[in-house]
Amino acid sequence: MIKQHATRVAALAAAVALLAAACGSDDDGEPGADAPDEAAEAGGEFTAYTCEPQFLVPGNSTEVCGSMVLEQLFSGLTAVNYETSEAYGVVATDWDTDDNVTWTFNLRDDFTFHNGDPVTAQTFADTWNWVVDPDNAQQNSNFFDNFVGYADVVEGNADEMEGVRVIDDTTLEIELTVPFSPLPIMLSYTAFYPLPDEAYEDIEAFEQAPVGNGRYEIDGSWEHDVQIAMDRYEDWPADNPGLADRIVWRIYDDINTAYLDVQAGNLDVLYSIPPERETTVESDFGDNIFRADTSSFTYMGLPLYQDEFQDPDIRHAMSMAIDRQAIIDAIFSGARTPATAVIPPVLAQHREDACNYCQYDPDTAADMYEAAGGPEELTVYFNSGAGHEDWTEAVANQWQQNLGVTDVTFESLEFAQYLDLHDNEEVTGPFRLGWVLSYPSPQYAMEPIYTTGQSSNYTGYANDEFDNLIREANGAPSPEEADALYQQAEDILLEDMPVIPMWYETRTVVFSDRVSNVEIDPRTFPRVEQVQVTE
Amino acid sequence: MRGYLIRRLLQFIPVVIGATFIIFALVFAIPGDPIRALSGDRPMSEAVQATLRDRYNLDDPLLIQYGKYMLALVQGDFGMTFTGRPVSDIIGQRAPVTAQLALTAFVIQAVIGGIAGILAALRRQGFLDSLVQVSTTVLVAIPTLVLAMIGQVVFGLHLGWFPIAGTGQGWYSYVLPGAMLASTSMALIARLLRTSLLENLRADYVRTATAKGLSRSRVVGRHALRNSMIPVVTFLGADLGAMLSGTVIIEGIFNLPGLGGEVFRAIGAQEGTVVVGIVTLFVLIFVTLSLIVDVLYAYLDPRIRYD
Repeated sequence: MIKQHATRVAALAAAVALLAAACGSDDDGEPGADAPDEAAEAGGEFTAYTCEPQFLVPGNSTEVCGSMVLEQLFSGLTAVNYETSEAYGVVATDWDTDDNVTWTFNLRDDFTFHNGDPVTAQTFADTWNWVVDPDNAQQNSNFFDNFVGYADVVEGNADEMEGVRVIDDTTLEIELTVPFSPLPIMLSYTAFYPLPDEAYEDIEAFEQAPVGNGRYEIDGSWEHDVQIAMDRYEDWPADNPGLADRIVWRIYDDINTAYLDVQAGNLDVLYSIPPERETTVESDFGDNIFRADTSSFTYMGLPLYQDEFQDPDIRHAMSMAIDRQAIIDAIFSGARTPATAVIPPVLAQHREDACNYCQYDPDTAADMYEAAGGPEELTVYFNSGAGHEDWTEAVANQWQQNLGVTDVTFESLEFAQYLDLHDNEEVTGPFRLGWVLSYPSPQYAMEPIYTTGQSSNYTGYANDEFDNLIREANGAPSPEEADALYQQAEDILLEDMPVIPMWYETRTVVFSDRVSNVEIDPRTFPRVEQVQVTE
Repeated sequence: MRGYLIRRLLQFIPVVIGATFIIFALVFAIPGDPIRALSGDRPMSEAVQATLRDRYNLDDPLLIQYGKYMLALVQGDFGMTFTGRPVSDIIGQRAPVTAQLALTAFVIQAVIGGIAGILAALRRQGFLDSLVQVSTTVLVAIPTLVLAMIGQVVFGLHLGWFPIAGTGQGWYSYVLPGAMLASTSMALIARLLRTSLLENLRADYVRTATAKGLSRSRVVGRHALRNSMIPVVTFLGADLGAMLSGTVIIEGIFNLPGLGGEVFRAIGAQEGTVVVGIVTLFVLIFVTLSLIVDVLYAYLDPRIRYD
């Protein structure tokens, strides 16, 4: 994101110092903790934070700001139970497959769009074919790349994917090019929501006031940079309709301003606080805080296409030379969980001790690094203006202290330029990147980043054994077998260590006295549909 | 005067063409592929990227891109953002916000700065004078960014006098951000006017006017003040440019959906069409305002003539 974090932090520090000097002690006289347990009652209205969405069309929405709004406006075939990391049906009632290749989904017949149009198997087929058509330039189109016929549509040889077949109004058949057991989980993702026919007539107009099939329907239209208002859709037929009558997403440019607005009682739910507020959030909000682990994963990638980083021992040593907890405490006020695996702790498949080389052990690291002939000079890469300056510097300091690295240069680039450098394999040292799960599957935590030739594989890592295990897991006949195979793949990954796992983000959510039952899920989306308005 | 006005208006044309081209070239020169950056760590497919590149003419050389942009512009088409929003919509929605903010700031700095300057000069060495001297020094010394954040916390959060963010309360929403935006200029106007007025009050023509038996208010108001306004007007003209850039910071802090925040975002996203559209508007406003300032000169000081 493009925010001048460093200046904001410095200015804020100055402002706080001046304020403290000017006002002395300034007690707000917080009201005592409210009685927390009231019966869950529907009704009421509240406001929630979002930033200005890039897009409000499901096939095009890739960022949180828009996706969490769309998730309320639309319902997909499936959704995910985050306790068990398993899919359950929303528009679909159930599904069936013999080989993880051909899938049959049975649909409910009582879902309608907010304009009254029914949601049928044909609706999904039409939407998906439209999303994949390159003329429509939908960013999420490559989520369909393992559907049979995807390539034909992309290349312009067909209008429809052969692998999406409408049997009747309530039966949809999907055929994949490879066995893929996480399909029901993947179908919960934004890209797969259905669109009504009117969307295709004028997609730009549709985007300003999307007509969905979700728990909530938009009231009026998207007021750019101001707000998006939605009312509960009373004809939503599934379980767990939204509690509040009305949700207003207030759009903020700057999260610091939103934080002040929650403090002042003008905003009810803020699902992420500015990092520099971690130290004061408890005195600012008392009990009105919710903390949750998320799948937001930060790693230091190593360019395996450079000679210096080809010896795994060098990568192990670099990992062991980092005192993650110390950096987390010093720079993030504790709001991160040190990574001890690649499958994140929010997934049921996570194992805490999966990583053999993620513990801080400077002595072993130093010996190993020297024996393997690790480079004495390092260039560390990060994208500028997104708050990565401090911690990358801390990591580099530890490499200097613990590994005998004598010289570190920092390359800080704008994100667009940063990605170009990666695409051209011109990165010469450790680089920072991150990954958030669009849908909660160990497959999505590994396959896009580490399998050979994948578009998000920036390290150039290639290991046939790993690729095969992922492929086998994707085709495994039962979830248990799949999990075991994913974990085997993870073990190989942690042994090869193309990336140094750093940490998972802990989100702090703050809310006003007007609401309760505020939670977020591992994708960092606030569960606004279950928020209860108490006033 | 008329010839002068026409000449000045004709100057707009090369200024606008030059400014748009320079800005366009600068945005073009930023390294990295904006379409690639749009989707972040997880790239979109080649086919989608190709469609978007083609839609935004990104594969053309600079001159062709600029030519296509200007050709569309002449037909009233300001182009689109990478997220498919017409730039004219953005300007239409955001310009009133920036205009209200700038106008509020302008009124605050002119009125408060002016009054403070006059009072300080008339009560020289008195308490009021010292107060103005000290407070203006403090205001000028603190960067607008810091001042705005303090103002937001003190007057918005702790005292609750003003809204912290957004435009929900009409003109009232603009008072605090406007005052913060005006702070530095307000202080400078007060000081400038004080000095200038003190000097004029000692001038021969004021002594003459006083000797003629004119009332104090007439001497100060009609004679001394009018002459003292000349440096202030000069300052205001130059200051407007600074004010437009100040809106970038203030709009961000107070979450006002104005042009400043948008141009900041658009530069980061390398959206040449948006940056050029808005900055051109800024340039036009600035050129128009400096024209007004120049005309005001002639009114304030008849010795200044342009023909």
